[in-house]
Amino acid sequence: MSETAKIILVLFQLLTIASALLVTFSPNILYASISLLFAFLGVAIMFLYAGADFLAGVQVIVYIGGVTILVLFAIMLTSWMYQVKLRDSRAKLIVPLLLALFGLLPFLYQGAQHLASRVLRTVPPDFEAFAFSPKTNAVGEALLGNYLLPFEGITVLLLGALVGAVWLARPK
Amino acid sequence: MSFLDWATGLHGYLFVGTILATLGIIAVVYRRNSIGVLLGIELLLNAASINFISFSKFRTAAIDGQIFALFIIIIAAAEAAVALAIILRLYRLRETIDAGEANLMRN
Amino acid sequence: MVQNCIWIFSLPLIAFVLQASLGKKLPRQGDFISVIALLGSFLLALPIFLQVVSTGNISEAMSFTWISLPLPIPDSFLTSHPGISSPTFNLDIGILLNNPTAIMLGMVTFCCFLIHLFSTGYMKGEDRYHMFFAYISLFSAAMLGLVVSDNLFTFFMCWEVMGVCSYALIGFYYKKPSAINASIKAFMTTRVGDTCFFLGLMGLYIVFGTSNFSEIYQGLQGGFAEGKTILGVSALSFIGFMIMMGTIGKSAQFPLQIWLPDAMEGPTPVSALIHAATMVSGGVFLLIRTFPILEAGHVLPIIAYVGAITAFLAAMVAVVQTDIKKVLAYSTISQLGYMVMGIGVGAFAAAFLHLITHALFKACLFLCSGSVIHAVHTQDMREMGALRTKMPLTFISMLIATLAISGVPFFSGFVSKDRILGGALAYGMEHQVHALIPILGFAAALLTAFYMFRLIYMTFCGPAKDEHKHTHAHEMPWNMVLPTLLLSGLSLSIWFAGPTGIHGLDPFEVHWFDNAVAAAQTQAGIALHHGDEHIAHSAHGIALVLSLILATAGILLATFTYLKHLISADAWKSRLAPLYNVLVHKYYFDELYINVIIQRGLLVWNNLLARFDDRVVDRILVDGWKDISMGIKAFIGKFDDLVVDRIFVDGTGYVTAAGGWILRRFQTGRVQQYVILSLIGFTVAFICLVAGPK
Repeated sequence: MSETAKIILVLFQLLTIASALLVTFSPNILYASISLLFAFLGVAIMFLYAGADFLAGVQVIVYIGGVTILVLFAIMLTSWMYQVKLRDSRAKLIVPLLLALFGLLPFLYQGAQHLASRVLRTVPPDFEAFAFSPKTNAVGEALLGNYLLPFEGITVLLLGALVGAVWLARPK
Repeated sequence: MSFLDWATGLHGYLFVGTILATLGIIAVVYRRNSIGVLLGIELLLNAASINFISFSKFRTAAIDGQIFALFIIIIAAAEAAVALAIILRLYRLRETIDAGEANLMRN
Repeated sequence: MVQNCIWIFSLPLIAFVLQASLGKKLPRQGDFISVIALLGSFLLALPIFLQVVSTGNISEAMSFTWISLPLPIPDSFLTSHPGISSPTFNLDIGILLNNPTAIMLGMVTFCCFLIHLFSTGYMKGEDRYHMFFAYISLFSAAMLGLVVSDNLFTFFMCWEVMGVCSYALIGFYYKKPSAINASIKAFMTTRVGDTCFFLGLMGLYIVFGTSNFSEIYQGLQGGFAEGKTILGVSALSFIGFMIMMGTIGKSAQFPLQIWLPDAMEGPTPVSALIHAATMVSGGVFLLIRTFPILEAGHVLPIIAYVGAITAFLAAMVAVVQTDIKKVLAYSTISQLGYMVMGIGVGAFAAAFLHLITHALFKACLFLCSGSVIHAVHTQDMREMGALRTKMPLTFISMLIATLAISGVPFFSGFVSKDRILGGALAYGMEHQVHALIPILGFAAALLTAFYMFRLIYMTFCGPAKDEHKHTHAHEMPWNMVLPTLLLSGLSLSIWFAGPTGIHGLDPFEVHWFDNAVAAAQTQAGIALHHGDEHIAHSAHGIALVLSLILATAGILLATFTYLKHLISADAWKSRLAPLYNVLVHKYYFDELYINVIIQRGLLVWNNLLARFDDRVVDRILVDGWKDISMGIKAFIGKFDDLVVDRIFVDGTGYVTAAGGWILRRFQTGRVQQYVILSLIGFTVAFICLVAGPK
């Protein structure tokens, strides 16, 4: 992997982090939603670099093209939701922030780094080759092979979720 | 090891995932707007996906992690649909989408 | 024969059970059961008795081990004493059928049967009629059991059963307070003697290890008791004295004679059966059975004195009594004194003969007095008189019995009493220091003749004192007359010695009794010390003459005083007022016992015990226990209330409520707050993970 490619990945990682910060702290829900779109995009690029080309596509299609747009539509097409002014109090931020910074973040980071150190010791020799091979075929075979039952289950779940969502949002 | 190697390696992926998870949690806890809470959840789910994908590459070099990430994405989509429907419902019932007001389970 | 003995005493026992359980529902309240049972006993006893009469000897025995207890004797003791083989305590009981047993069986079954028969008339229409027969049947069973017992243990048991029956029968008219008091008095007084008897029995076990008569006789002959002591005195003396105390209690001897006159509160057949013919003779029979022990224990002089004093004192009191049954009661005491005296002076056979003859004529006297009482409905002789024409058969019976008791020739009492007096005189002549014994005996003989004829004259002769009662008097039905006639018939001397009863004058003599007793003495190993043959022979001659003179004198004195009224009884009464008062008050024995011994001694002691009971046992132990219990209860109650209820029960509630209150603070329903809380938990867990041990 060239230096340029690495720099591009790091830039997208930074984009992801920055967008996530905006998602969390932006007082305007519309801006937050749009920031989320960029965060998803950064994650999609990370997927691409990690050899999950199909996943990156799915990420873009489902998240950016589905979920984020859905949220934006929900916000913008329902005028009342956009007009809702819910000011987040800064005081309420203190406890979660402290917890996140001194509890969750160090824990996750520690755990992650610990795992990473252990994993890298037994790193598979062909992971570079794996990273740059097309995966669509493999994913398709896996879904209809080993993972057929979860795949069927998830389809039922999706159907249930769709029906439930429609039922919940039905006009009164 | 240079910063680029670190950032583009497993450590970097996991670091980004950690940041996303933390910010997602903060969003879930901090946002008064239910839509904001939903966005936080999406961040959390993405952080989980990143972890799966990164271990898929750096640990096993196999497809399984990607399949799980795929499932996560599907569930996230379903979850988003249901969550939006719930928020709409909440607004109709309580005339608000403040997460703190959704306290029918109180006491 | 021995098997018959079992039936002899079992039949009345069965009768008792039947009578007591379902007598009330039977026709005639079941009196025929008792009568038939006693008739059966008599018929079974008759062949045994006749065998003794004809062959002069009967000796059978059977016994079995009743109780076998392992004794806690350590093995070391057994190994060091090889003579002792089995460490068990065996209580053998059984039946001893020898000559005295057979003679007693004949007498007792006969008397009991006749008295049962008499009772069917006398007790007719009384309340608790069936229970009366139940009691006297049980009594008969106990008496017969006592007679056939081959050991002192069952002897004592029967003895006590008789005591209970006596108690129940004296208090038979339980609505009369005097009867209740008399029954309690009799029971308590005999208890003194019985306790001593039991001590003697225990002493016997200590010394001989058995209470079987035959084994005791053998042990005595083998010198088994030599050198043994109980409480510092010779063991045999102790045992003998204690047995004598038993007799004193049961046979109403001085100084425990006080209960017998009061026992006359019972129905007259009871007086005849228990307090004249059988139970009181049981005491004498005990002396006869244990005579070897008494002899070996050197208590015979004491017994002789007790008997002589009793005979004389009771006869003195009998002179002043006006109640017909009381006269007979004192007469009984006096005659029992004779028997005891006879035992004491060694006139074993004479005492035993007197036991038999006295039982017969005294039963006759009591039954006749019962008939009289039944006829005139009073016991006071001063309200009687002139009944001779109204009740000729009763009069004849009673006259014969009176002649017998007075010691007139041709009658049985003469034979036996003459022999006792002869023995006493011989004893007195041989041991001059004991001269008081024959003197008292002869004085009692004079008094006996006097008071008995006084009774006859006051009751049957002279003018009728109470016209109303006299006109209503009538002869008794057959079932009351027949027993008296039969008993009076057996009061003739011909059955015991000869037609006249005077030794040497009889055209023919009857020797069955002497032979039987001699054989019995040989069996029991009683080698009577006959002393000087010459003295004994001359003493008997003197006694014969003396007793004849005294009997005649007594009869004449009574005749002059109460029939011819040549001597004024009232004048003598006032002349001898102090003596009269003493006699009327029975020598103040009751006052002595009640005022001094009971009130000053026993009552104080009892009060002390009662106070101990009250203060210590009740207050400290019982109440104290109560207080402790109440304290514990209060403590437990408080513990329950404060600790269990407050802390545990209420506490659980409070903790739950408080926990709920605290948890409710968190249960806001706000999802975000929940997430924060789980984050806090997550953080704490993380800190623990990092800071904790690796």
